[in-house]
Amino acid sequence: MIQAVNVSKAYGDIQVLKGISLRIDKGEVVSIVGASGAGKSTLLHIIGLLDRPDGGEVIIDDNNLANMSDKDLSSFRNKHIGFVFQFHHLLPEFTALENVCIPGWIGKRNDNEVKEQAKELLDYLGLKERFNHKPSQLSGGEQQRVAVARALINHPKVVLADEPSGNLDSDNARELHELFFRLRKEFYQTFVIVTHNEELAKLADREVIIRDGRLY
Amino acid sequence: MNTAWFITRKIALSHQPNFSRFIIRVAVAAIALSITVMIIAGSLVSGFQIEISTKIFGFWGHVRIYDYNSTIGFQDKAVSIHQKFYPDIEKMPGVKHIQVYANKPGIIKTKNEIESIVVRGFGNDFDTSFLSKCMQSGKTFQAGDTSYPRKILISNSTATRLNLKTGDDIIIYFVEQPPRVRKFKIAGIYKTGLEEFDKLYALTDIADIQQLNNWSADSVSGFEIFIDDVKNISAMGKKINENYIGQNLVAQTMKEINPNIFDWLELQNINEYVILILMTIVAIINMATALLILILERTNMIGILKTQGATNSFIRRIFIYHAGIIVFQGIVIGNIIGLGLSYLQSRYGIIRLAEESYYVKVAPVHFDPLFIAAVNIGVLVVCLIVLLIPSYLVSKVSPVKAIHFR
Ligand SMILES: Nc1ncnc2c1ncn2[C@@H]1O[C@H](COP(=O)(O)OP(=O)(O)OP(=O)(O)O)[C@@H](O)[C@H]1O
Ligand SMILES: [Mg+2]
Repeated sequence: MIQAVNVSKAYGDIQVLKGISLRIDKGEVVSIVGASGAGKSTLLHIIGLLDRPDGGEVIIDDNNLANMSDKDLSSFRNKHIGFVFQFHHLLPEFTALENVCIPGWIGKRNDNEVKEQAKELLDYLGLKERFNHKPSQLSGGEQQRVAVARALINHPKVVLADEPSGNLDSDNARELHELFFRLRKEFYQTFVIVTHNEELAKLADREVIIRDGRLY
Repeated sequence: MNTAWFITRKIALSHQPNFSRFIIRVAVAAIALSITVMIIAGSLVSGFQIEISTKIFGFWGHVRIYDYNSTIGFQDKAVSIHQKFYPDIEKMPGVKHIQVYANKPGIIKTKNEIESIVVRGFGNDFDTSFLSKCMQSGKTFQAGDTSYPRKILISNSTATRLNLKTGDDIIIYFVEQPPRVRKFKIAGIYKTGLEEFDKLYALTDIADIQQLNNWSADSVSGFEIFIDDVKNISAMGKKINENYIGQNLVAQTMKEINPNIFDWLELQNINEYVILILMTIVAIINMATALLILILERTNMIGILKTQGATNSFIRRIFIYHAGIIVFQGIVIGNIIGLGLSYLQSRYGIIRLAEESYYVKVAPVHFDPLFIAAVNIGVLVVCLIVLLIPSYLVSKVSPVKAIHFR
């Protein structure tokens, strides 16, 4: 479903990715591990169309994204890719519900439909009582779950998570990991998760390791 | 739903980062200041232009018909009052009134002083409404009065220089071969404030001028026409010329007869334009700075929205809306202050002018709703259009970098 073909990326003299090929199938949970600075985030950004590779290409469902304009990439990202980062990156001025809705609204979806779905999602993630809370009024675990709900609102083909539990204590981290697998089981949701958490990496269907700019 | 507007509203109403808040206040103040200055400048300039031209037109009418061989300061050529336009031109749309006049140059002599003057005769069709408002003492009178000595109105400036007051008698010498002398009684003293005119003219019954000129009662120097709307003055002048004028007669507008004073009034527009342009630049510079800072302080938000698939133009719209809110606030405040100050000036006359140089004692104010609307809409539109340029900064924000920082 998602394919990175011979992707390379350099920052100045540093060749971060040296021809990486990776294939992710629908419903798979793939973990990416590697030392700090190995290029995990870089790869995730390229798969998530936030960055363009220097060489190689990313193909999602037969769409070759190399030739797309920035505008089309934005639209594609909006519809098909959800992100979860180490920091929740919720917008502080907006409630949990609004934060979840925004990607839906950006995609010009029907307001009520988006709101209903956002509520269902938050409910599903155990945040029923938190709809109208601002991010600052939420715990770290709750913030991260709102971020997950936001990533899911447009039914993306894939959720790309970059150290999603990196800022959580072990209980919250475990809860989040279980959530990912529950979502996979119940909704067949695809995940690509960059992590330093070995427990999570082992739970994944597949674990790929980046070292010296290559996958192992 | 307009999502960009929704986001703008939220962030504009929320607690802004400190520096943004400060910059937004500066920008609102700058817009308010610009609008205030523009409104005051515009109201003062047009007030000034209208006040002075009202005086000129009130005293002299808008269009004058006379024999083109007549020259001010010398003996006018006689014109018959039996013209097809007199008084029928009053039926022409846009014409308010027509009246006759006759001029005669003379010299006023008192014990110690002599002063050259033009005595202006008015007929019984004379509209005294403007002159009545200019009377400093005494009052206007009707043509056809037979009292002796003959009545005359002199200006405040003539009265001051010759040390005369209402009720005094004066002797005026008229240049003829041989010279003729007439005694007049000062029935009143007027002041239009238009010094150049005031010091030259005295007013009396046209019959005296006709008699001094050896003219019949059917002869005058010319006609003064008052029109309804000064905006049409040139068109009316042209129309009157085309439709009614022949032989030695010419119809000229006051603008043509006194180009200097009207050019000088026109010149005030340049001052106004300079102020408008400067103030617009002030507004734009402040807004551009404010917008750049708003964007820089929100790179994180921009990055997050980009990861969610927001396009550059969507995010730029957020900031342009935000700028719009700032401009709008500035405009509202600027209107309140600008109109408020202008009102205080019109009510209490705080700003005073030297009447000798400016023809008015108190700087007059004229509110033109169209002008004020144009200033407001102009500032809003110009600012927002110019702000499209700095808003491109949004597309320089890389989502990857924005997300990295926290
Ligand atoms: N915008 C950038 N400009 C220059 N160098 C960069 C940039 N982004 C990343 N790098 C470099 O590329 C390399 C890979 O970075 P990346 O963030 O992908 O590592 P990572 O595997 O995610 O590391 P970590 O586990 O610490 O998050 C690093 O050496 C980093 O310094
Ligand atoms: Mg990383």
